[in-house]
Amino acid sequence: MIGMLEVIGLTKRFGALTAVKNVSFKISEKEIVGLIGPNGSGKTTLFNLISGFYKPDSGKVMFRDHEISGLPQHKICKMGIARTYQIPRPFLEMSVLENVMIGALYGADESLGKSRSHALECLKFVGLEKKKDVPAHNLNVSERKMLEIARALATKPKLLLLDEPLSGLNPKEVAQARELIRRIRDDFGVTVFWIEHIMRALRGVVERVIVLNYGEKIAEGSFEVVSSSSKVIEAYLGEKWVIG
Amino acid sequence: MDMKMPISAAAITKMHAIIMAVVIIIAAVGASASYYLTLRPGAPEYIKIGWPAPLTGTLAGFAETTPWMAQQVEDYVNNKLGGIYLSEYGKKIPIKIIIRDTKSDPDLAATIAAELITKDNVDIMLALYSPAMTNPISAQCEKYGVPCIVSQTILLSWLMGAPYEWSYAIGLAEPDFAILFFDLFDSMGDKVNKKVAMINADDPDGRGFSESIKIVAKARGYTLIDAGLVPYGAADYSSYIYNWKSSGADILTGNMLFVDFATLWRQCNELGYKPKIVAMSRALLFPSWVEAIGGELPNGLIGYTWWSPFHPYKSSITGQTASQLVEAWEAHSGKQWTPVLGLTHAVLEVAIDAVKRAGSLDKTKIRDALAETNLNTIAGPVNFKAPLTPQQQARYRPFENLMKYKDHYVVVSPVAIQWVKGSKWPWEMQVIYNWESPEIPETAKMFLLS
Amino acid sequence: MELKSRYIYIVILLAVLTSLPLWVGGFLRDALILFFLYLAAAEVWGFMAKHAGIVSLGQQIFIGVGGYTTAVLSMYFGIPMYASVIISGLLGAGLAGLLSFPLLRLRGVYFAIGTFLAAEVIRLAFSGWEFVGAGKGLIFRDAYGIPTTIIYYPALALAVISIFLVYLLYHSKLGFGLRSIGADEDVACGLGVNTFVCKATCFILASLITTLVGAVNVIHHTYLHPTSAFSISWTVNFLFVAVIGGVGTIVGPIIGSALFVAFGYLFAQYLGLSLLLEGLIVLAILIALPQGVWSAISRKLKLNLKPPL
Repeated sequence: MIGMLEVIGLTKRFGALTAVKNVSFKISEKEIVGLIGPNGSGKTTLFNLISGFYKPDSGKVMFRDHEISGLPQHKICKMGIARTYQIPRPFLEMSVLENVMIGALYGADESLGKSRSHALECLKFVGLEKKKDVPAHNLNVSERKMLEIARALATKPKLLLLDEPLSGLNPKEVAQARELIRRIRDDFGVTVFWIEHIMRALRGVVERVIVLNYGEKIAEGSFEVVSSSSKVIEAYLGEKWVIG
Repeated sequence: MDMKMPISAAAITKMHAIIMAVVIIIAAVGASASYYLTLRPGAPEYIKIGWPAPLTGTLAGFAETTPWMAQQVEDYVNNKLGGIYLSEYGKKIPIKIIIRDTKSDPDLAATIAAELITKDNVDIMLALYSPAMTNPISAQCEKYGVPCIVSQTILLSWLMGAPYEWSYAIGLAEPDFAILFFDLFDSMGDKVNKKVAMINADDPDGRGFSESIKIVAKARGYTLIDAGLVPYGAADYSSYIYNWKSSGADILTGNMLFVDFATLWRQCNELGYKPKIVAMSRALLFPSWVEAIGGELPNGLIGYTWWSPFHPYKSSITGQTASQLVEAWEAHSGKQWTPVLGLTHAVLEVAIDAVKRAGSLDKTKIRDALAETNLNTIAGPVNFKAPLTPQQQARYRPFENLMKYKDHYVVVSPVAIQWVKGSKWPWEMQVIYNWESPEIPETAKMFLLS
Repeated sequence: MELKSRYIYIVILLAVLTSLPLWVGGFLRDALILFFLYLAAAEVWGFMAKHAGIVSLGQQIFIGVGGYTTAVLSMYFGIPMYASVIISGLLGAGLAGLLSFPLLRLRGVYFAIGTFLAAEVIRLAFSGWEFVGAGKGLIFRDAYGIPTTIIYYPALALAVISIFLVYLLYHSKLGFGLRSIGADEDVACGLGVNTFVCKATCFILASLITTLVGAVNVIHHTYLHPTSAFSISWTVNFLFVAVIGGVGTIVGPIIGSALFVAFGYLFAQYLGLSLLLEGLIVLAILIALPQGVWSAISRKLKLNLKPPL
């Protein structure tokens, strides 16, 4: 298996709080890996470190054997890492199509004409092509989630970081989204690293799960192994229902 | 699908309609405006005098008397004299003084001057109150070829735009002030020592004054204890003051904003520095500035003026004397007179005189008449052809522009004044030294501060 | 077909505008020059502010630099005036590029404050610089001989160029990048937009136009003074023009500039009250029509215009 992402001893502090503490792991090409942990366990911080929004205090991030920690976000994006946000952040005044075109224009460095057709393909893939001319502020939550995925895909990523893509979706939409994530990997060959708060949503889609608690990696392995780990259950104590 | 089109068909037609409407409006407005503007049949309705003035903004203090003065002169000429006789039309034509607010902004002053020329078709322009106003206004007059009377400005700054074809100035010459002060110091003989404490604002006025003082002090054997150029709004002058005190300087001079001088003079008093003469440029021009120093502190401070009610001159229009003009202003406004009043009236005298002698509203004829001006105004004689006095020649020789463009300006000679407690107003100025104008009475004898 | 006839109207409009100085009076020509100059600067200011989120309060830097460079080059160095104007434009663009490094790292209100402070520093430098006349100002005598019938054309050209620049910019790849930055700079960066390069390019282009406006303005007004050449009132006026008309639209500043110039002339007669009156009217417009006059008109007429019109 070819290495896609390797995180080595990554640490990030905010004042007295250590949000990510000496975390190391590897993700191989075309894997779908889940990242779980209780609220405030450092999942989104870890994404921000990988995507270049934060600079690590120590440790490094290797992407396809190149060190990327310290590079600006736009360079990391162009190298092939795209992300979505837990609370969608579409460009509200722009149309749905234009939102996606930004990813194609800059992330994939395409011309205006090319980016338009490419963006349309991405919108079709997530099922938003009928809304392409609607201003993004008119979309509902689930549509915004899909827009974020389309926009990230338009950058032609090799690694896609999904930050809670299922939150706010109804059960039917959750099923569709899980299918969509699987197809992102199967159809496009994109490696997926997926933050989820609700652990059971990962079942049957991910190959592996990484668990964070208080910024530290406490478990890693297949869904079945991790979900029965006593350490993980302890970490989730009080919100047991989410393990499923 | 129609939805795909960026603009609906209805919107397109509306766009067409709007663009057509805009084109028609522009064409109509342009055509009618140019028709009216080129229409000038027969004798003119008015003699138009354009006056862009800083009625608001930082220079507003200078233009305080402008609207009143314009109204006075306009009423007098039109009602008492029935207008100005123009030989070209064989009849008297009323004057109209058009004032516009420049908001003390030089760029707006240029815009407004151009508007007065192109829209109001003024026959002659007035440009007063500091280089920031006079320079852009007379530049527009040069550009459009309109006679322009410049006043209440520093000639060296104004002459940067020389040579002028259309503009004539009644102004103040920077080199005069330093010499006036030193002539005054010299007249004290042994009563004061030859040590001069000096401080100047870090701006063009302060820098200019500092340079000329240095030259004169050296030539006359005075020692300068110079605090240098200081920025506006300094809160503490004690280090300079101690220095002056320990060196025992009897004279304090400089050029500062009045607010900064007020702070300085209060601190001198607190720290016990008691010079015998305090002679300041700029800071002591206006009574309201002097009053702002507070308490008894203004008593005996020395400055200069270029006009006062004691100046023995009369208006060539109304026959008013200087003191009558001051009375009229104070009665109208309830405010104390300022030295600006005299030149604000004199420019109107010169303008009306030039138009009268031209006998025409042809701009070249007015300009030629203006160049030949020889008029006794309320601010003194104005004769652009008169040569410089020998003393002036000696003073101005280092300044090329003053020598070269003599025919475009006259200098108003300053006199030294001392501020004393007044009968009508808190502080009033007395002329203590008439310098090169023997016709101006010295109204009080100068006293030393200690 | 719609497109074609739209171009015809633009051509007719341009033909009318280019022939205007031949048959309108001196005053209207003067007013039109001001109208075009404010329009040119307000178009780019509005685009930067609305679409790229770059709210500059320091565009007076470029008005001043354009004016001083043009005057100094043609008076002291004998360079032909048109060449001086072009060189001043390049210099202004270069200065904008240099200023980008410290300033564009600041965001939002900090950028606005930063640009204003930069303008103040430059104003102070010019106030003390004897070579350019320091606080006495600089009289541009060489420009006395240039009639408004001539100055009209560069002013018109600047306005037209500015409008086309904004239109093209909006629809270009750079425009997409800028609009994404204006919407959410971090997200844009995460999608591969090199936000610094995009913003700097936009700032440089806008400042180029503004510098040229300053250059043409000095030929028209023939006088420079540091306090007015580098006065914040320039940028405030551009802001007014853009905002009254409808910020971020192309048509808005056209209406805004016409109103602004008209107000200026109308209210100058009300001595001492002109500032107050102008302020009140502008305030009234903004309260009644917060999106600007043009947005209100286009909504009322249901024009459904595509941005950035």
